[in-house]
Amino acid sequence: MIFDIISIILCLAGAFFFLGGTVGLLRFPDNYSRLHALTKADNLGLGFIVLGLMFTSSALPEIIKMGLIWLLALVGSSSACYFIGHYIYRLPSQEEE
Amino acid sequence: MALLLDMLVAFALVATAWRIMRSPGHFQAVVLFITFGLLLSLAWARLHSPDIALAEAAVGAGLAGVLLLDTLRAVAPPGTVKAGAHFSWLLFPCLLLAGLLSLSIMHIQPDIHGLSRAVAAGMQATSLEYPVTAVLLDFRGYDTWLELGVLLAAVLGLLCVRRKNSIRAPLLPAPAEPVGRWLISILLPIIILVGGFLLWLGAFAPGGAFQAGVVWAAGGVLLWQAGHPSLGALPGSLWRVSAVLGFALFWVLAAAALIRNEPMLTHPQAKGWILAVEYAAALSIAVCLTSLAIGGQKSEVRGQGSGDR
Amino acid sequence: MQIFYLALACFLLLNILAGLWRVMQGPTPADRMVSAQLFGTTGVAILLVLAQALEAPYIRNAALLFALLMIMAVLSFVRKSTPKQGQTGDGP
Repeated sequence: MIFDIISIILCLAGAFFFLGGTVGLLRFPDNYSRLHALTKADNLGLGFIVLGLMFTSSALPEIIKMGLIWLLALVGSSSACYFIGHYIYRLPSQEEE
Repeated sequence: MALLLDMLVAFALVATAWRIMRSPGHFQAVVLFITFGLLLSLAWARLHSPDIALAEAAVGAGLAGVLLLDTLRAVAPPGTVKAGAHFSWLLFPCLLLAGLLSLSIMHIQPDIHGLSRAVAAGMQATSLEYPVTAVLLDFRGYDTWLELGVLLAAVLGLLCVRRKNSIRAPLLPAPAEPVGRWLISILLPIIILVGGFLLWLGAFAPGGAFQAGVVWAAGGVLLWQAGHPSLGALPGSLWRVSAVLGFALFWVLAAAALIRNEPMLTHPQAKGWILAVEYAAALSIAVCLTSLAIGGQKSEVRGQGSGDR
Repeated sequence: MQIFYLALACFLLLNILAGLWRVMQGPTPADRMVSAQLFGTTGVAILLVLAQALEAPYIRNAALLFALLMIMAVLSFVRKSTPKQGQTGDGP
């Protein structure tokens, strides 16, 4: 029971960060700030949700697997952030589509 | 709550599909299509079909985005993207067809089980534990054989159209930035590991040759994108043998059964034999998909170069 | 608990739907790519939550594949957008 409550709190925190990421994606004025919003959602949103799910998971392999998925998402999203940021930086006057 | 989720997924799928058709820019359509693959994977997960969710995840995230973005550059140089054509006159025929199809569906007897009972009854005859893999490799082996043939034919067609005798493309220069190299050195071993994991899983759980092949193909494309020399260092004969291995093994299976005067594709019910076919199929799928992704690429770059001159 | 997880999945899906506005609005391709990347991460979260809610552990493998392969599209996007520099090589 206590684990359920902890899980709910952590998942709500994760949902909050995803909401923050989406609001940032919609409301921030330029590319760089939107990238910033993206990485917050990736790191913290997914991290909190994975942590919350870990508390209600019974099997140890599942817990380890979810942690690894989070690490992989971290590697992917942070390098994606770098690549896109580098791309924007190199082509400052990208014409609009 | 589950109903709400289902309705949201369905709405998102239809809205995204509609927007892909009507989007003014090709790039926007490509990004929407990547999103569409993600939503499809969610829908399959919700429909309790993890096999298809896995395949959709691998294809949608790994290969479709790369192929579409590359194609986009080949067909539409930046700045000359035209607004999508409008096919509003097709609305009435489409509605008519949809109505007729709905009518015909009303007349089909609802059968929740489908073929699952027949498969469950046949499971004793096979040595595999997972029904989907048993259907793909044993009960309907003919289908899988011909699908491997289709992939092989696509690779051969690509070679004919591009008038090349080598599948492999010249390598891109290695990424200058350290992040790219670091990323590839991290991701590639994990991709190979995950592909092998899915292949191993296929014997008794959702997973299997196609999913593993697609993941490995994504690894191959990643290697090529990184300009890593290992793809070019492979001998060409090894590459070709791997491309036809899955098809050839099925062919041997079929021919051996005919010689033994049995129906085609019946095979000794040894698990090792079926797994060998599955592993070979995964290797062939990986090599064929990599060749398709890279092979189309090469001529595009070269064609553009010659166009510039 | 299952109801909470399904509600969470619904909420995350609504986030994706809201983010689609940025894909349509643009204005630059980079913005659209950023949105796709955010959708990918949100999708991983939804799949993990669904795996827990439906007690279908194999859905986690789909989440694993998305986490592993979402970077491919970004790599392709970055590479294809700068062809000339890429071909001539702009660094050691």
